[in-house]
Amino acid sequence: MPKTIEPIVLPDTEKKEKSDPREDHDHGYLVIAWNDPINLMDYVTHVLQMVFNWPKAKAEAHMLQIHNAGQSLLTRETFEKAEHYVHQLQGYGLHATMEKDE
Amino acid sequence: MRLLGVDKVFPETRVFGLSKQERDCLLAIVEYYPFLELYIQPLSKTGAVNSENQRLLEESMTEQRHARLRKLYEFLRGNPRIERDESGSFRLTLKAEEVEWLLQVLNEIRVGCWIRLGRPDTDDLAKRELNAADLRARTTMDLCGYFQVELMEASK
Repeated sequence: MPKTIEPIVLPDTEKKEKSDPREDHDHGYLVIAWNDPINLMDYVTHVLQMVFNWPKAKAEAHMLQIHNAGQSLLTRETFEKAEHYVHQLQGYGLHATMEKDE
Repeated sequence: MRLLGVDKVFPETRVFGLSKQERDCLLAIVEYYPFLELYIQPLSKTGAVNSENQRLLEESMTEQRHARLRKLYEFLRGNPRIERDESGSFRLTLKAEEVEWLLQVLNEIRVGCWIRLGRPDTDDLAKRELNAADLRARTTMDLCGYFQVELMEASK
């Protein structure tokens, strides 16, 4: 009886390409708020308090950073959470984006 | 407009006092909503997301605007949220989430006025000579700001 050759199965070493960044569960996404000349300073503070449930002093510090430096890093999160926050912030009319922390 | 107090039976409810002029102004400016076509910002400046994520943001913003609009119709035609009191002034009753809703509506109108004015800086706006349409936008913008401040005071 002829011997059959067992197929050799190599471990899957090829990296699966990520098509949806939502699969990224690292806390590697930054939520950034950008300055704009229209939203009231008190309004920005209020929105940060509502969205992040921050005390007024913390929200105010970020608002001042947005106003003076042009932007403020609000939080570092997983993709999904960062996306959720940006939806909320933009829903309030704030200029906010999410960026990958390189 | 000023906060008169919190409802005793429903502590989540805020009661505001308004003069007749304030009531007329508030009802007139919210009628402007949504004022401008929805402008959706990018979800990311550096391409951290794909087109599907951007589409979801657009869907979410569109749905939020529709929800605000639906609430506004209820507010304007539904049960009287603004009632005249015995002194001839008016009382506006809002639940906590309605305070947030009205804040967002007023902010969108305010931003819409600013866009219509050409997105000026505060200094430019102060120096600028305004035509009739600009003046309407400027006045509406300031009125929105006035009501926003009062609503935020009530949230504290």
